Parts: sequence; structure tokens; C-alpha cells
Amino acid sequence: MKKTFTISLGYSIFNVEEDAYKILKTYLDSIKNYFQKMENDSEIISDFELRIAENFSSKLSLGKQYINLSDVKEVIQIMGSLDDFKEIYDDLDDESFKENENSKGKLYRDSSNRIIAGVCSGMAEYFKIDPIIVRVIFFIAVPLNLLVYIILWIGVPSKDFDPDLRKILYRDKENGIIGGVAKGLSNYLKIDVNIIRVVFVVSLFFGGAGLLFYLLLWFFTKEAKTIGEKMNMSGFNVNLSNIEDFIKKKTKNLNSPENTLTKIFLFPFRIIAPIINAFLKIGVFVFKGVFFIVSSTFIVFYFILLLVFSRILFENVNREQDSDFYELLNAVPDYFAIFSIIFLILTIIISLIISFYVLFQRKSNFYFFMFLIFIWITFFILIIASIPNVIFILQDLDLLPFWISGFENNSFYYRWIF
Amino acid sequence: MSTENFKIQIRKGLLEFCVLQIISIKEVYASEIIEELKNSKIIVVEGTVYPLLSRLKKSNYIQHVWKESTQGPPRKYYSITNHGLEHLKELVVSWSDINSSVKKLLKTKK
Repeated sequence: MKKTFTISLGYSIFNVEEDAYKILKTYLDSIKNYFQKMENDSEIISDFELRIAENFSSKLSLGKQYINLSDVKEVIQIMGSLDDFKEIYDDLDDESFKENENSKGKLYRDSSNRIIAGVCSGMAEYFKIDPIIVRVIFFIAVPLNLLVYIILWIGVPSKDFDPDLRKILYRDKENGIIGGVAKGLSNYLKIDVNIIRVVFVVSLFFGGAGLLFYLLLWFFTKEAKTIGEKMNMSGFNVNLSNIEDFIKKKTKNLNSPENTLTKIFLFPFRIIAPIINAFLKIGVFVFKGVFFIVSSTFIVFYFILLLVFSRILFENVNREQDSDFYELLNAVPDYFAIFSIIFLILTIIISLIISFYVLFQRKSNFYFFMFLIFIWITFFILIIASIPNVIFILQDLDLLPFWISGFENNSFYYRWIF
Repeated sequence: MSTENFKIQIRKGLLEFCVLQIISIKEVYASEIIEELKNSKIIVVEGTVYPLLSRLKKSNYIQHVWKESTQGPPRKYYSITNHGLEHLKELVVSWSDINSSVKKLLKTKK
């Protein structure tokens, strides 16, 4: 007994057995991917499916009402694999690919290979370079990058790029020693992993550039986890026969045995590896702890501020008790106080969400979170924009503390207004 | 260069020509084209025809109409356009040129 799936294919309905369905789906997906890349024409796919349906129909009879694995395999053989198509269309492809790229020459955020919002990866796709380069540049250009990133995040639409189309640097943790960076690089550059390891180690003695580079790569690359990513990393194209090959190779473990020299060379690193990993874990733990303590102090601090402000807003302070403070309170415009309070509430909520997220690895609603941050920034800007006004009111009432009025003519706000 | 590779290259070059030729004779639907090509061993796998049809359509060499069929879903019938006919004529000329020069070569060899 086997489970069957009911599928609709080219205007007909078929009952397909489970194992056959999986193969058929993989096949159709890879075909779809390929044709879309090639012609950007959905009609090809529907025509193609129609033909598969015809072939299936010829396999059915009164005695056999379902499609099984051998039917699917036969039909795939009749229709042809990606390699067959590539044989015919490869040199034509280059032209149409270029045309496609020219017409598609727009900047998108890459949702398929992203760390935060896919801005860097999208830019890399746009300039046809590896995302890692853009990420490192972004990381180094500290003051500008944040602004640019946020602007691009808001302004650029996201798009799923096909991972088979480009080669991406992944970390190969399975075959790596510490973080899999060297092994990933070797897959990417098609250089023997040991050479890269030697280069890394040698560069350690020249001011530690290798270490920095290693850490940067570690932070800015993703670990290859899915089978597609692993295949991409090793330079395979994802299609049906390749998936089978790849899995076979994986199970056979094709890694060539290391010679004695590399064994000796790698020995210290094999010893260090668990220590480094342990340190990393401790480091992450400490970071989380510190983060939690800092964020909770902030929260407590803001709560106190909030209480003070709400007192200020809703209760009159006694004139006799503290006359200076009373004057100051009356001078501060209401809108400023309201902005500040909303800003503080938002800060508390956001820090709570972040600390929950970091501590318990819960997922917050992403869009809600973005919305909060957006409002938070808005109020922050409102507060900053109203500060000069508040200062002038205070100045008029002669309430300005000396550390602001002291350099009145040179003050930032003074020059800003005039 | 193996014989297999040679065959692939030849088929590749002739595929467009043959498909246009088949369509120019009468209105056909995709499966008929495929049968014809398979019988004459121009194609090995069926899937290769579809991208080509889409390309020919984009270059405005062929057009299609949907027609009801007595059995199964409606079918897409392809026919050649005037533009396509002109293109085909050019292809026929260049094909016969090549064909005759190759034949000449073969004769001189003997």
C-alpha cells in the first residue's frame, strides 16, 4: 500500500504515488527554474506540463489508475533533463541571459541570501560581485552605512534570487576545523583547503591580518545547511541527477585521506578547535548576560524617568517646595513632554522585545517590530527638532542652565536657527 | 571531438530550421511537432522543443491559436507567419548552399 497525491497537471488530474510525486516535484521545480531564467516565459512551463500530462495519460489504463515511480522516471527520460537542455541551448543562453540581465538591471534586496534585509547581497547581485565584499565594505564604512542601509531597506523592493545562478561563499562547518571558513573558501576558489589554511596560519605572524580576515568572513558568511546550499558551495548545479549523485557522494565520503604532513600541521588546530568553540559559547553567553543587564538597567532607568515625567505632566509641583523646578516645568511646552513620554514608552517596549529575542530566541513579529522602530525614530526626530524651541522658551524665561547659555553665541542650536 | 558531440552540434543548428519547416507545411500542435522530430531523430528528448517554440514566437516567426480537441484539453496549434516564411526561405537557401558544398567535399574526397 502506498499513499498517493492528487495533482493537477496540464488541465488533467492524476493520482501520483508519494515517492513518484517527490521526484516529479523536484524535476518540475528545476525545469521551471531553468526555463524562467532562460526565457522568462511562463507559457513554456504550461506547455511543458501539458506534454507531461499527455505522456502520463498514455501510461494510465483501466487496470492502472495511478502514476508510479517508474512512470515518472520514464517520462523524465522522455522529456529530458536539464543537462539535455543545456546541451542545446547553452551558447544561445549567454545572449538571452545578458538581455535578461540588462532588462532586469535593477537593484533589489536579495531575500534568498540575506543576513539582515538582503541589501548587501542585492547590491552584490547588481554589481555582479560576491556579497561578502559588499558586506565587509558596509561593515567598515561605519558612520554612513547605517543610514544608507536603512534607506535602501525602505526604498528597495525585495526579490528572491535564484541561488543556483550564482556562486556564494558559504562556511563549510561539516568539513571545517574551527568555523569552516577555510574549507568554504577552498570550495569557493577551487583551491586545496590546506593551502588556504597555511596562508591563514602564516598571516597570523604578520600582524594577525589573517585572524581579522577569518573573523570577518566568519561573521559575514552563512553556514551551508540545506542540501541546495551545500551543492552550490561545492560547485554542483541543483538538478535531479546531480542531487542523486551528490547524496551518493556524501554517503560514500569522498574526502581523500590526509597525508602525514597535513595531519601534523593541522594537529594543533584540531586541539585548539574545541577550546575556541568553548570560548565562543562562553563569549556569547557573557554577551547575552551583559546585554540583559544593560538593557534591564536601561529599562529601570526609563521607568523612573517615565514616572517623573508623568508626575510633571499630570500633577502640579508645589511652588513653595521647589520654585526653580516649578518654573522649569511650566516653561517646558506640553508637546515636548508628550513626545518624550511616548519616546520613552517606545524605548521600553523595544528594549523588552530585543531582550526577549536575544535571551530566549523567541521570534517577534518582524513587521510590528519595524513599525515600532519607525515610530521610535519619528519621535526621536520630533524631540530633536523641538529642542531649539524649548531652549528659546527657557532662555526667554531666563531659566536656561548656565552650561547651555554659557556658549550661547557659539551653540549648535543658535547657529542652526539663524 | 566525439561523434556524439558532432551529432549534438548538428542537431542544435538544425533544430530551428526543422521546426519552422514542419510548422510551415500545416497547422500543428506541439505533440505533432515532437512526434515528427523524434521520428526523424532530430531530437532525443521532448523538452527541448518548448524553449525553441517560445523563442520563435518571440521573434514573430510563428503564431498560435487555441483549438478544442475531441479528446482531452484544448490544444495550441502553431502556424507560420509571413515573417517566419521569409526567414524560412533564407534558411532553406543557406541550408542547400551548405548541403551542396558538403556534398562536393565528400565527392572530391572519394
